[in-house]
Amino acid sequence: MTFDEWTTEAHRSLQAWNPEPAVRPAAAMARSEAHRSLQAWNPEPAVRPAAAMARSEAGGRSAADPVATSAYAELAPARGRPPASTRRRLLAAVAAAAIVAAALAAMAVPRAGTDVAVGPQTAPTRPAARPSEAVGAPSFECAAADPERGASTDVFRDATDVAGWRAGNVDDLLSPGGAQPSPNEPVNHATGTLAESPGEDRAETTTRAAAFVAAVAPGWTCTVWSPEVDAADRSRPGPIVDEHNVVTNRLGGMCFVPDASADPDSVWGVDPSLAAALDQVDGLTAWNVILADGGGNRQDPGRRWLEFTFEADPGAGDSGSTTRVLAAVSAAVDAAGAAAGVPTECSLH
Amino acid sequence: MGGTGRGPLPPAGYEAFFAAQHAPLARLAYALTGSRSDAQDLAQEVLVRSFERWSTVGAYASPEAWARRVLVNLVYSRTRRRRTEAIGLQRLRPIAAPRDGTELSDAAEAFWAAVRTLPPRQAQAVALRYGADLPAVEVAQILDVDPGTVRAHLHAARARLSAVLHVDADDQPSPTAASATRNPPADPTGHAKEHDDDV
Repeated sequence: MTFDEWTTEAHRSLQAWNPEPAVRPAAAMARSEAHRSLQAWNPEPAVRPAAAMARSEAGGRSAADPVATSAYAELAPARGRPPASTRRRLLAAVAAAAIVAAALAAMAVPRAGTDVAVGPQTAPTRPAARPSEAVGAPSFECAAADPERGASTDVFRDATDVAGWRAGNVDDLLSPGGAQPSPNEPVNHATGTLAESPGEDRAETTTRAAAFVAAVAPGWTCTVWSPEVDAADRSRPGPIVDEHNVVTNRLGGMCFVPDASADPDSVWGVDPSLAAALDQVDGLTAWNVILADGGGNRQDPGRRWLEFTFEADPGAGDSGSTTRVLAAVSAAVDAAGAAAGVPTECSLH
Repeated sequence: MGGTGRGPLPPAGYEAFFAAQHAPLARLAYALTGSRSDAQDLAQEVLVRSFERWSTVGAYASPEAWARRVLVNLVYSRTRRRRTEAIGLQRLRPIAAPRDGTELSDAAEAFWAAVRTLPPRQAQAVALRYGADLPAVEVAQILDVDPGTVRAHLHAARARLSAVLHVDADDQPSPTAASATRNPPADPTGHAKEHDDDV
C-alpha cells in the first residue's frame, strides 16, 4: 500500500465509526451541575500546601497559635480546582469533613527531625520543610519512550548542558532503601540536573530546558523543572518545561505507599479514603496509584506508588524554590494519607 | 434537564455544537488513545468543559478548534499519567492488553496503533491531519505552532510510519521533502484531500 492509501483507509474507517451517543447535552450539563454543586459545597476549607508549610514552619500548633482558637485561620479558601471525576468528588463529599480535620491535626505535629528517611524499616517519612532552599539548577526527570527496551544514556553523557544525572530501571530508582543493581533490566528512567546558571532569567532557563528536552528525544521524554517558581508572573509561574516542550506550572512527585495492600479492591485506583483526603489538597490535580511490583519476584509485592501532579500557583503562595513547593505538597499528601489511614511516604526526586 | 422540563435549558448554540462535535472529538480521541472508553470519556470531558465555558467558547470564531485543542491536551495529560501505570501493568500481567477498540478495519487499526508510537507532537499532527482531515494551517492553530512546524512533524511522522507500515518503497518520502513543502490546497470546505501536499 502507498502511504496515501494507508491514510485514506485510516480516515475512512475512523469516520465510519459512529460513537455511541453515550452522552447527550443534558448529560454534560448534569455532570457539570453536579460538579459545580460539589465544588460549591465545601464543608471545610481546602488545605493549600503553602499554608500547611507556613504552619509547619511556625512550629506546629501551640497555645499561642491562632490555629488553637480559629482552626482554619491559616488555610486558604477553596479555589476553583480542575475537574476531577464525579465519583471522586462524591467520595470526597462523604468523607471530607472528618478527613480534613484529621489531616489538620496530623499536619500540626511539630516536625522535629524532618529530613527525609526512606526505607521499609523506617517510620513513615515526611519531606523536609525547610524555611528556604538554595536556588540551584534546573532538574529533570526522563522516561524512556519504550520502557520495556529502555534507551541509551549516551544522550545525557553527550549533552553539554547536563551537570549530573543517574539512570537505571524505574523500579530500582524508585525502590525504597536504595537501588538494587539489576543489570538485566532496561534503563528506562533518569533524573539529573542541568548546569547551574546564576542570574539566568526565566526565558533563558526555558530555552535551555527546551533544548535539552529536544536533544534527548525521541528516545527519552523529559520534564525539566526550574529551581524557581516565579512569583512575578502569576499567569506563567514556570519555567517548567514538560516532555512536550511546553512551559507549564505542573509539578509532579511520587510517594511510596507501604501498606496499600490493606485495600485489595483498589489495586488500580486510589483508596477511597485517600482519594477523599487528596481531594482536599488544593492544587493537586491528578494522582494515581501504581504497583511497586506486581511480578511477585520482589520483596514487597503489595507496595505501591502514588504519583501526583500539582499545579503551582504563586498567587496562592506557591512561590520560591520549586523544591520547597514540592516539599510542601509532599507534606500535604503525607498528611492526607495519614488521615485516611493509608500512610504515604513522599519524597523528592 | 434540557428537553425534559427539569433543570436549565442548554445555552443557545451549545446543543448544536454538542451534536456536531461529539463524534469527531471521540474519533480524534480514539486515534490518539486506541481506547473506545477513553475516547468517550475524553469527548465527554471536553464537552463538559465547553458547556462550563460556553459563554466564552461559544463566542469563538471556531469553538471546535478550541475543543480539539483541549482534547489533544487532555489526551497527553492522561497519557503521561498512565505511562507509569503501564509499567506496573506490564509487570503485573505481561500479556497483551485486551482490545478495546471500535469497528475499524485492521488496516486502520494498524495505522493508528503506529501513530500512537510516534512522539506526541507528531501523533497529534497526524491525528488532526489524517484523522480529522484538517488542513495543516488548522492543525497549526490547534497545536499553537507554525504551519511549517506541522509540516515538519508530518514529514517526520510519514517517514517513521512508512517504515513501520512497510509502505511501498517508491512511495517513501524523500529526505528533502520537508523543505519543499507547499501550502495546503485552498479548499473552502476546510477539508484537504491531497494529504501529500503537507508532507
